[in-house]
Amino acid sequence: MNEPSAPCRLRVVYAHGPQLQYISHLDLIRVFERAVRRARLPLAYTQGFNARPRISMASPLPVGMAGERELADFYLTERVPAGEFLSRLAPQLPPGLTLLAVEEVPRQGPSLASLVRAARYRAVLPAHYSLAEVQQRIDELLQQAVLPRTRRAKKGRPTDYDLRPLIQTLTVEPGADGPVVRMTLAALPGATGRPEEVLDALGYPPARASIVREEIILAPHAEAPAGEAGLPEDVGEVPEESGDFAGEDAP
Amino acid sequence: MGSAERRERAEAPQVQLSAEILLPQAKPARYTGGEWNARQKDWRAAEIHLALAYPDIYDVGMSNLGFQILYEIANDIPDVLCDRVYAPWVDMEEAMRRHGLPLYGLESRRPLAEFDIIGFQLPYELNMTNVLNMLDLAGVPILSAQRDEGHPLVIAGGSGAYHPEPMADFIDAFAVGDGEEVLVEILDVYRAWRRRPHRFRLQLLEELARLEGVYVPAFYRPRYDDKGRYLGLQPVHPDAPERVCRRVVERLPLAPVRPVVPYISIVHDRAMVEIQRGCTQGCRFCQAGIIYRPVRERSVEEICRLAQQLIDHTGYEELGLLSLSSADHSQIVEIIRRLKAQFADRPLSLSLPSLRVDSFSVELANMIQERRRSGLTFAPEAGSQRLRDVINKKVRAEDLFQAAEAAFQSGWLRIKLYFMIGLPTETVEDVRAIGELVREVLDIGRRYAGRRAQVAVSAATFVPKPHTPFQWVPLVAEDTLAEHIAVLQDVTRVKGVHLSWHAPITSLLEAALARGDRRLGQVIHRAWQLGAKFDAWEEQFRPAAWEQAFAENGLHPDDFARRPLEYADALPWDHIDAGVTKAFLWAEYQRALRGETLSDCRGVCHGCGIRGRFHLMACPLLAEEPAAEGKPA
Repeated sequence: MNEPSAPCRLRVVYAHGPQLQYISHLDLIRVFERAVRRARLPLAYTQGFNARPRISMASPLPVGMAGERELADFYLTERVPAGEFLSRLAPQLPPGLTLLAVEEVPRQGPSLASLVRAARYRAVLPAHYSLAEVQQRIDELLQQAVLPRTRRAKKGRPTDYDLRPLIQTLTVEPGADGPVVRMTLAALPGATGRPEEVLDALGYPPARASIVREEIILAPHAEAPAGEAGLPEDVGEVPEESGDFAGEDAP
Repeated sequence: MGSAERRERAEAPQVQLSAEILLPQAKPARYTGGEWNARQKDWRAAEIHLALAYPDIYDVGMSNLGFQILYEIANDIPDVLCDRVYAPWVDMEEAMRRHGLPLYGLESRRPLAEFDIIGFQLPYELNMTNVLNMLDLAGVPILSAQRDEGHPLVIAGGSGAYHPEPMADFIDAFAVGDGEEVLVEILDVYRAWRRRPHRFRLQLLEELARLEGVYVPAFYRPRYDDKGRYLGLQPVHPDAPERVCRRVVERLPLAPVRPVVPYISIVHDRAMVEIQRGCTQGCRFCQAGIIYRPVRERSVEEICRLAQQLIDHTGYEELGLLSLSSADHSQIVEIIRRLKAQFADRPLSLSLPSLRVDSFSVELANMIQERRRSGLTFAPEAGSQRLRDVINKKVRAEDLFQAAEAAFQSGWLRIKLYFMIGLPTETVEDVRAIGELVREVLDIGRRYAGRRAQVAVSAATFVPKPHTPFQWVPLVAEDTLAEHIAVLQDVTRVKGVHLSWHAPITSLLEAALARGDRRLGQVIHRAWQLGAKFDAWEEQFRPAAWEQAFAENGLHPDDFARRPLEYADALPWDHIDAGVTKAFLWAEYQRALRGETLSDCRGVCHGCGIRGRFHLMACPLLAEEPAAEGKPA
């Protein structure tokens, strides 16, 4: 659907700071869209009555969280060098959005969302928690073979799932403001680990605002060569069309 | 108050918004500011701190053009810091009260009580309790009489300032009319007062009262006869003029080109260019049609230039061409043609609210909407020709049918029709006539779009408003209204027609607050104490609180909403001079009762009084004529 209209696809790495942690995923796309328009960059739009900007996010950031290395693909109707895109867009972004890197990627490749495999998070616990105790709870949790949990969806029935296989790494280290829990959680279609759930399983009341998504981990290139493996483009974009689903897809 | 105390106030800490408070909110970004084009000024460097306040939620207030205009004007003054503040929705208010957080300015996050001036926009009667609630959340005494030099000055403008008496107890000074110039003058007066070594609040109010267009209610006393009938307002201070004349800017000032762009979606999420202020149609129910006279068109050149700057500075994907009747602009086709050419290189949609009921308007709609022709809205307002003549809505049934034909023929599928119920002299036959109009429009639609054609009918209760020819008319009786709504439901029960009407429960209150005198202050105060707020939001409206508040004060809403009035009667807004004479309004009312219409005054002047009152060289002030000279002394 995009072939002739979007000859240029740029992958943008950006930081989503705490100033913007209260806006939703759909709001964020509009913020980017208007910034791109102010920068007079040739943004591509979907065809049809309801033209939407062709901006694809790797993974929606839950409201209340900050992200240090977020990813989005921008489709343009003309080729714009990555450096020029960055220098023109950066001054049009509101405080709280910082461009870190831009690179051109093959426009035929799989959608960005379909490449996501995992995400790394960092959560700062209140200072009165002792490091040793947190460590002990982590050890106990990781020894479990299964971690049955129930997720309450916004709509529909609560679903039961196993959190354990979604936890790839889980560690703790001392920090200036309190123990810092670091985790890498799987983020696959239908199998997304959520950091609040891990904290809750550890017995700590989840305080989302103290959690930062440090990085989104994509599949290595070999795993999803452009134009061959991986999900087709449209599948990856489906969630964006389906409203506010931030962090809601059940495993 | 001493300057030491002042300095202490100016260094008050910012309000801290924790995740615990914000995360559970429906839309936390309503409360965090920092949007594109928001003006972040240095608190300490500013001499005057002004909080522009809108007594409804962010989503509504951010859509208001007047609010954005004043925000930009105030912030363009170097020593003025102007923040925005909106009414927190009930969930946020509850959290703020629980955590002891005061209401704050969105940009500076300083408590509202630390500002020098709080300026409310009063767009609508049913927002009045929100003003009290916001003052209370700010920790500012609600009653003007209880505020002193250590409190912010509380001023108000907007259409509510044209009938200020119900809010007279709470507002220190009202600014009546176009706000662009008078706001700057108020700030100048305030600045000079602030620089005095010894400051008394009374002096400030006196100096404000000397400004043209400013009404200081404390300098007037209402009089009533022994039956409680209102007899008028007595100036009790030498600086208080008998009548306060509204302000008019003769030439439309340049509009804001850097409006704040919200993060969240709001009611009207688009760039706005005011292409014309005022309206010459002369609909007799319409307050805006009187209080925004004279018509002032903006030139094509200026509209195109403003549009370019607006779009460049906001990135908006939609541009609204605002006016009370867009198709009336003498250059409207040229405006649309030029804007389309100007923005041909990017996807930008134009929108044209307030279309007339005629095929020319459909042509305009077709020009701006080449694809996606979903719905068009027309407002015939009344079903029968007789009643349309009464209200001076100069639309014939043929105009509507031709417009519908043009619309369905060019691919539009849905037509929405606005009507009012409870208009003066309305009978059951007039309501039945709505059914005939609607069915005919649907039949036309079926011819072009088959079963896909739809007609939506939206009916609102007519509420008589001050400064209109119908200001003397009582609100329709409850049983008549019920009967007419039942008839309306009956005659629109047709497949393909969807009827919606506003529950009349708030109309009585709206009419009472619109037509009431100063005694309503105590009622509003009491109703707010009993939990009334967001009265315009049906699910929040608390009729029991209002009933009790009226009863405790020995009053009934009917005393104001349904009191029959004569020409000789003193009206609670007589001291506000909107520029149109009372004699003209009365003559219009009499013509209405005789079923006589009055033509659009673009062709011929009907002597409403505006031209003489403001010494206008020309009226309407058309875009392509040279701007009128200044007023003669």
